[in-house]
Amino acid sequence: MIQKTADNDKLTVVIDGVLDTHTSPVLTEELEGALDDVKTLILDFEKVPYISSAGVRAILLLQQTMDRQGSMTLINVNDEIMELFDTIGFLNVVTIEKKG
Amino acid sequence: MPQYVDVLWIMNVAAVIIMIGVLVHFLSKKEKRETKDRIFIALLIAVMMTALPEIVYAVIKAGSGFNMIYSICETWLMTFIEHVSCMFMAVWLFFLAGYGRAFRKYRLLFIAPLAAELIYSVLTIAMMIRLFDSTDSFWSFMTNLSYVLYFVGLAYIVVSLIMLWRIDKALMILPVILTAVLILFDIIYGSAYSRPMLMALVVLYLYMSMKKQQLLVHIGGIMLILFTVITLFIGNAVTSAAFSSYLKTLHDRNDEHLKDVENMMESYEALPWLIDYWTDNAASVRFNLENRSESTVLFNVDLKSVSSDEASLMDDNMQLQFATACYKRIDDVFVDEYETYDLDDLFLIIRYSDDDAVKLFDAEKNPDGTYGLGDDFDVYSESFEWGNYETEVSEATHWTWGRYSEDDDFGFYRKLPESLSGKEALLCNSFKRSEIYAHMDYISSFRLEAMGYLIVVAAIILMVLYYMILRPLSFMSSTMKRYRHDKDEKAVKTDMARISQHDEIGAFANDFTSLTGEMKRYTEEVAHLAKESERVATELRMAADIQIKALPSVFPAFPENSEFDIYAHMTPAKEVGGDFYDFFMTDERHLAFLMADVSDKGVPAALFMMSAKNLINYRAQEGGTPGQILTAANEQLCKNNQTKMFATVWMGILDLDTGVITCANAGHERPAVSDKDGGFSLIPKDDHGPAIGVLPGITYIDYEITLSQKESIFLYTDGVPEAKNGAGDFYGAQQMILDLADIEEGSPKWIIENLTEQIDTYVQDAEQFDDMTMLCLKYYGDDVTDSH
Repeated sequence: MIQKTADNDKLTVVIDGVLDTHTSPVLTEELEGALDDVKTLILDFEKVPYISSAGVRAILLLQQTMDRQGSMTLINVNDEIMELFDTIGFLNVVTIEKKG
Repeated sequence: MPQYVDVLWIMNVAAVIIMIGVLVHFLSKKEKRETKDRIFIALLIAVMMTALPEIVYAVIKAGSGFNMIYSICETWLMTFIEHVSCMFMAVWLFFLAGYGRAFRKYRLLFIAPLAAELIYSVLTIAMMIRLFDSTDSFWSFMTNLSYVLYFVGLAYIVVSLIMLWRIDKALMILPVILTAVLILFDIIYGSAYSRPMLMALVVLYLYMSMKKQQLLVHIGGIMLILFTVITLFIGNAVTSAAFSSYLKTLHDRNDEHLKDVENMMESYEALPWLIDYWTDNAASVRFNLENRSESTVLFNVDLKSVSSDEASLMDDNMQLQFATACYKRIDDVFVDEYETYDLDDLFLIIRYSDDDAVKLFDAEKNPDGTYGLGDDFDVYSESFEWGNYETEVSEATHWTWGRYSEDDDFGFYRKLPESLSGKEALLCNSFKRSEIYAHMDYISSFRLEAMGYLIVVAAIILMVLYYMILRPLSFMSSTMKRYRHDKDEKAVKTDMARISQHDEIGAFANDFTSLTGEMKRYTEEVAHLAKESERVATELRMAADIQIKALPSVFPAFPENSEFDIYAHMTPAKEVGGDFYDFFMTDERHLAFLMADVSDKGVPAALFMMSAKNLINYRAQEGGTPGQILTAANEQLCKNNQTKMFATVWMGILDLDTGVITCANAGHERPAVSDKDGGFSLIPKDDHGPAIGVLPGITYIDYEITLSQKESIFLYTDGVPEAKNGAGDFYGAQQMILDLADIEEGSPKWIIENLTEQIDTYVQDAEQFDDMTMLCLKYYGDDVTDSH
């Protein structure tokens, strides 16, 4: 469900499927060791229809890591997820680009 | 021991003993018998009945010389009882297998061949006791009839088997094997003589298959077939070789005698003339021989040295005397040779064609003592065959020599050189076929012996197989079976230690022992894990319990306050969740209430929830607006929150006098507020801060909502709009608002219970992964007319 494409210090991660209590740990584990030399992390949400609060937390954890070594951007995020981030109030914490 | 008590006979008796043994053993079993067992017993009885005539026959053959009984046994008893018992076999099968009704339905099939058999028997017995003359045509009729009946019997069995097939396919297998083997052996041997032995093998086969010795059964079956084929081939090879060599021995021996006679005859110089004369004047020479003594025509010359030319110059009387004297001398030599070597036959013929020959000399005189000179030699009536040595040897097979009757003569001949006789003169001698047969009897018993030895070898091989492979295998199999039930790996170890073979079987036993050891360790580990996970589950249940009890759950919560009514409810999902709500009076006129949702689930979320709840509660007791309270709680929670756990919180403080709610939102879903008519709507987008616990230094901004009398505010967590039905579709905030509006006006409890019902209807039995928490507050103000 996760596809990683590395380009020098830029890592693009395409996530496929919902991010919830069960799938978020997978994302965290997959990226744990892969972020060592990454300066730019791109999370492609093209294929993510839904994200739960556990997913949000996983994103926050990634954000915390990337705050120390570079930047992180969520791209292709759909309206529902945008709204969720808006509701929770993390739009200022995470860099998000809307779909389309 | 009588000569008929041969290896085969002993084996037949042994076979019957085996069958009886198996039957007794089987009948003595105490357990309740099933259909399969009944069929087995039926088969056994039928098989024994088939074997019975063989034994009777063998006993009579061995013990009695009385021809009548012998013939009856041979031609009638055997065939009749054989057929009837075959039929009984099928009947027993039907009857004992518990299919009596099926049998009655086809009883004609049973009666018809039995009636035919009876008629045949009566005819045969009548003929035996000479009630009417037996003619050749009658005999051939009877023979054909017996063949027909025999095949009727076989057909009957086949039909019976088809019935069995129709009743129950599984019933078929054993009788089919039995019948097939029977027919095969009957075809091979042309008789049922070896049947009991075969039957015993079949019975053992059946018995072993019932005792689950399948492998032994299969190997035994294959060996039975292989050994039969081998015996047939070896038997034929032995018979042919013996026949050929014996025939050659006979031929060489007789040829020597013929040579002697030939040499003697060739020493007569006038032989060609003599042969001509004897042939042409046979009657005169014979008369002269039989009526005059030789002394009257005494020659003082050496008869041998007279040449043909000299003889032809003699006068008629001299010629006759000379020819007679020579005949007498030569005939004496024939007789001498014949008697000295005890030959079966010795004669000289002149052959004109295949069926026209005249006798010149014959060592055996005619029954009236006259000479055979000049007699016609009838090839056919003399039962004499022109034995061509080469052809006979090449045809010396089991099948060929069995074709002739024992009374036929078998002759060899030696042709005298053409130059001597001018005619085809054959010097012949013969011997009885019975002589060869006597020899062949020995060979055939040798063959039976060989078969016996092969069977013994087969038995030894099977025994070795049994003790080396099959017994340990089935022992292991039963050990495994027991282990499956009692899981006693110590018993397995003890048992397997008894298999002390140092081969693949032994290795297998060792492997199995260590496997059970590992199984035990694994089982213990699993049991340990199960216990551990049970413990964890219990603790989680307790944690969830504590968590739920931490939420105010006594309603009505503030019976002394008529200004408002509040109700809240949490439907926990499977795991310990992170939703929580709370409400409490901060002072006499202010009610604080909040709804929160901690990110993620499980024990960490629960711990975070407890800590957040307590922080907010304590801070609220110190006074201040929700914004201030949340700001303070956020600062505390952000400290050392490496896990980025967060909670969305909506908090409000209601002024009981005015209905004004001062509230702040930390990333939570906006509440829905009702109007006087009961319609609900989400409040407009508020100025909310982020969820607490992540970003320090945030100041949460207060805003106000004013409730008029009888207006309600409804708080919820995302578990409510995200309730899923079986198809995976969300319930949705939109639907929630619509359903809330549809609910008739009532107390908060009424509203929440109705909404819960609506949600339950929507999700049906679909499993929910998130807590669903709702809180409803209704404001009455000073209106006491419609108080709770």
